[in-house]
Amino acid sequence: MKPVRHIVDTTLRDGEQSPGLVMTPRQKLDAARILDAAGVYQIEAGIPAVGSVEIDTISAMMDDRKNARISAWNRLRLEDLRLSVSCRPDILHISTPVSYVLIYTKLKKNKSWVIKNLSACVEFALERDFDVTVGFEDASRADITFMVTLAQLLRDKGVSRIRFADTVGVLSPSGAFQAVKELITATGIDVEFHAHNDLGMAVANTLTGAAAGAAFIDTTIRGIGERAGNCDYFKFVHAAADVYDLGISKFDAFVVEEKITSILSL
Amino acid sequence: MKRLTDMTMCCLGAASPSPAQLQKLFELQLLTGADYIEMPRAYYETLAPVASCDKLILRLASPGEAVFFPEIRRFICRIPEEGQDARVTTEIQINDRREIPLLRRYTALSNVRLTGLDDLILHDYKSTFSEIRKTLSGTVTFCPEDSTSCATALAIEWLLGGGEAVAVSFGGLGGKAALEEVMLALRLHMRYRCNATYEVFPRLLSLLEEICAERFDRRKPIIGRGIFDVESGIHVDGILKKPEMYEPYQPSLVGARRAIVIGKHSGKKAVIAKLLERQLLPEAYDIDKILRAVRQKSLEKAAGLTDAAFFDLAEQFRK
Repeated sequence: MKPVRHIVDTTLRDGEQSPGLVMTPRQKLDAARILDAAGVYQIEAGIPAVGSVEIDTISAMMDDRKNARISAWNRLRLEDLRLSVSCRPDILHISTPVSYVLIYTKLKKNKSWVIKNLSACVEFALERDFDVTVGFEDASRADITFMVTLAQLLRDKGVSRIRFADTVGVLSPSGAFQAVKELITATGIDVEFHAHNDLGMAVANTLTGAAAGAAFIDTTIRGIGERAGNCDYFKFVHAAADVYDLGISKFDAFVVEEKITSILSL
Repeated sequence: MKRLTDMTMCCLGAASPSPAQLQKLFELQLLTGADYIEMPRAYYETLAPVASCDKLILRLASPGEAVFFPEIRRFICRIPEEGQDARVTTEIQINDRREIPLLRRYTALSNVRLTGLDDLILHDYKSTFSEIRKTLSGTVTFCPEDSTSCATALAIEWLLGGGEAVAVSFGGLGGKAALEEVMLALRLHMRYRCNATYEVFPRLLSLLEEICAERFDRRKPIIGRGIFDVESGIHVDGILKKPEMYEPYQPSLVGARRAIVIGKHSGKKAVIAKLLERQLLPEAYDIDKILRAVRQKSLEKAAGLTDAAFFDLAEQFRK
């Protein structure tokens, strides 16, 4: 039997961040329905902090879905989480910078601040009985010791999964394998792999991340996303379906891609 | 020492470049920093005489043709011949790792190029690379193919693992690893040729689009025309503070420029930065109202705003 890998489709969140691309609520709901019917494990639906239209869309998606789990993306801010709670998603995803360049230069904070604020956000979500996943932003340029410490803390609090994000797309396949392996070995926590395609290696990095044990795989339709985009859904399924049980055949993934491409006018 | 062969000219498919286009293409290829430029015999005969013969690899139908080109130092040919000219590299197609034992028939060859192995990343590729190097005693150039979208990754892993040479094409034409991706990945992972610049890429892109009568994707890594556009608030903010936070390398390295696009995901800082691009004073505008109007307009149009549309809209909210 082939090992199972779960697809987390982020077309409607990270994909929509492609500059110039806007998805209407109708488009998002139609695309989500197709992803749901295709057996995608999780649909990252959007960012409630963007505004009321996004909140209404995610709420409608929750009412509409049959099987897929719906998640809402949040920055490391309680006010973001409060807006997400109002959508009643299955999963609250909290993204936290973990590399020094993001912590010290962008946030102008330090590691203690990250731990304190992440703990507060996670506790806020868990107290409200949400399943919580945490995204390690810029993980590929981060200190592994800090990530392991953070992952252990999150695991002990009850966070179900961490997302390893190669935010600037600089990993090599062997680097992706090693990083995921180290995190899983040191913490035992479930890992989700999120690749960007800046060096044209998003699919390959995701494959080696999966080989290292990442059980959850982030994709977008046609690989849309910031800069050179993300791991392409169909390309990943096409490459991986012979080795992993992804819950979908290559042909069906192709049909899904065609339908959503048409809906979103990609 | 790593060696990159640019086989773009051999990957043009049905395109028929004019002599002037071929000349221009060759001149631009010489500027990328590739070690060798591979071309079909017919293209060489169009371009000859060529000043940079030491950088050429000529693709031949049979090794025997090499005698007609004493000025050339390297050739590539798919058909091996006993006692062939030492300047000829033999190209061997290996479709998957189960075919690796077939390489034992070629141990006597001093120069081999391996093509194929598209799905190797799904398996224990490091052991396979090791087996290849043990089997073949001479120089091995790896030319991974891209049917599983992993050719660049395989080329990089081959070089990171001690391999000497790869064969690639600009933009990954012909289903090869992309030259520009391999070059940038080598720079980031091995600090390889850190003083080189790649400002020639946009000119190569335009010329190849003209020759092939086909546009490359706007999101094509390294060379896509839209990859340095930024819109979302979180990323515009980060890039304005310190570009390396959200970009793996400076756009200028590859002859490109960053552009702020205003749309649904833009934040206050993006709006302010856009106004400053035209030397407009942000204090003179109601930024919150602009932002609300931008989001509403983006949703109505189901698209981001053009620069003209944004500045028209901003003028409505001048204090």
